[in-house]
Amino acid sequence: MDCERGQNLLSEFLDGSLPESEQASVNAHLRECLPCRAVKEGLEETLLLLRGLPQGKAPTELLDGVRRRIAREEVPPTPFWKKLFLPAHIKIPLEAAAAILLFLLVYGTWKEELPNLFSPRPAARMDAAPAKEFTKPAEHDASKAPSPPRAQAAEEAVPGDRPVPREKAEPGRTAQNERDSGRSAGSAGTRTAARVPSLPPASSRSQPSLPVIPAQRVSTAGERIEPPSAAAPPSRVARPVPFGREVTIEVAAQNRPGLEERIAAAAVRLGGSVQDEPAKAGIDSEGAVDIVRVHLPADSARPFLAELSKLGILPAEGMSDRAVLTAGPSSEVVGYTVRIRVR
Amino acid sequence: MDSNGGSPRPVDLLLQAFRQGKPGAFDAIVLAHQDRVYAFCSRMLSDREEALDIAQEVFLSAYRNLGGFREEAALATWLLRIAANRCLNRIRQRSSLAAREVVFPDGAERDYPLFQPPAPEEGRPDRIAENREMAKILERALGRIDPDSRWLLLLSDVEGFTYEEIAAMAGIPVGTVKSRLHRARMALRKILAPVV
Repeated sequence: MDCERGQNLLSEFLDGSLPESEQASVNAHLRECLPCRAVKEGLEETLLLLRGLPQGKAPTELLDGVRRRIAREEVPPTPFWKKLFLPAHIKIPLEAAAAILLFLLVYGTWKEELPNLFSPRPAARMDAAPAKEFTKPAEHDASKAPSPPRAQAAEEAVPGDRPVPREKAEPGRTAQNERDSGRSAGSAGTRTAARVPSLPPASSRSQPSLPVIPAQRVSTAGERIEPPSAAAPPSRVARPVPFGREVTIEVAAQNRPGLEERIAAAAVRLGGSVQDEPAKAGIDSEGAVDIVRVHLPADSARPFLAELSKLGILPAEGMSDRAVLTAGPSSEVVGYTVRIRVR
Repeated sequence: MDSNGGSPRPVDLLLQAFRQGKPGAFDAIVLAHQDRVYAFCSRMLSDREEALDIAQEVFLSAYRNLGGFREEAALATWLLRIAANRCLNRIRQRSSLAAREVVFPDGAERDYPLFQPPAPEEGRPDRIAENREMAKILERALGRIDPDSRWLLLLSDVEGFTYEEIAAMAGIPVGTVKSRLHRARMALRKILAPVV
């Protein structure tokens, strides 16, 4: 047996796990080979050291640590409701406060939206409107009587030298809606001519007149009033102007119905607007004596009077001194009070 | 090695008690094995804190899995096997260990400082082995052995398992256990040569 082979078998030799023959061969080699015997002795002493290592005592915290870890594992997961409500003295008040805040927030938002939620939509309102409600939503007219240029013109700014606030036209609104809102707001602003006859008497005349594009109208007599044509000039009336120019128009009784609408249509066609809150002067024995107040560009005053003369007679005594303007271009705005008298 | 014939071992009784849900049974199992497990971990890891941590993990793992323990081996063998796996995993996690490990087999140049023995007047090694200081020296020497061989060394020469038991625990052939164990012993002898 050579040294390499003998040394490779040393471990098993010392463990006594070699077969007897090999055990004897290694033993014989060790007796003859001093270096291998030295290696064997060194290995033997190493094993003695290893086997003589003291066992040692585990620290006492080992068992404690094991117990802690096991206890941590055995703790059942906290149920959701406990996480939600415990500790009760802290979480329940906090959650209650959060719930109240959330309720207030939702309620506040809902309350703001409430009027819109309960108010009927224009289309539905039109369906339910009585026959005398002659205004229809403008979108219904869009396909029949295209008026975008007119509408756009009405929304355009007034001439540059008159930067005044104005109100946007709301084509979707019905006359009833607008009247309702006008009442609730206490506003006497300018609206369409169509609603003039049905509004209560005016007590104030201080509100600014703002041009509004009238929707398609039907007179109380069932006569259809065409909206202002696209060719009509844009309204330039946008600031409060007193209705100091008075005109009286006399009409026969059979022509009386719907006269307000025709006057209003003429004013709007000429770029003017109609006072939203008509002032009824009173009712005489033969019929209504009504007043229609309009604003017009000064250069439309004459055409307006011409239109009125087509609708009825304009007696000279019914005209105030300033009713007829002098000719010539003007950027002024004039206010007319048209009194209707039935012959 | 724990086998002692047909009569049940005390540990087996503890195991039965644990399975019957008797209070304190698992504590008794821990107490019965903690010194051995801790010593093994300590020698594998050369670090007391880490050894304590791993030993606790071993018993925690045992607590979780004792229900499925089929007693094909002694409980101690099973625990040491868990300990060996945990220690090897921990060692592999150490990035700094590679520089300290011994590269063997034979003839390889040492790239680590020579083992510094204690003063020669401390006497013969067989007496020194009983000395705590010598035990520390030996454990430090063990720490220089490749971990995959170290645990074979500990199981065989410290814990007294047979080749077959070690092969079963390590999942390697008996011949491989023998050769690797021999190389580990020779490497340790080299390290301890100035002492022994």
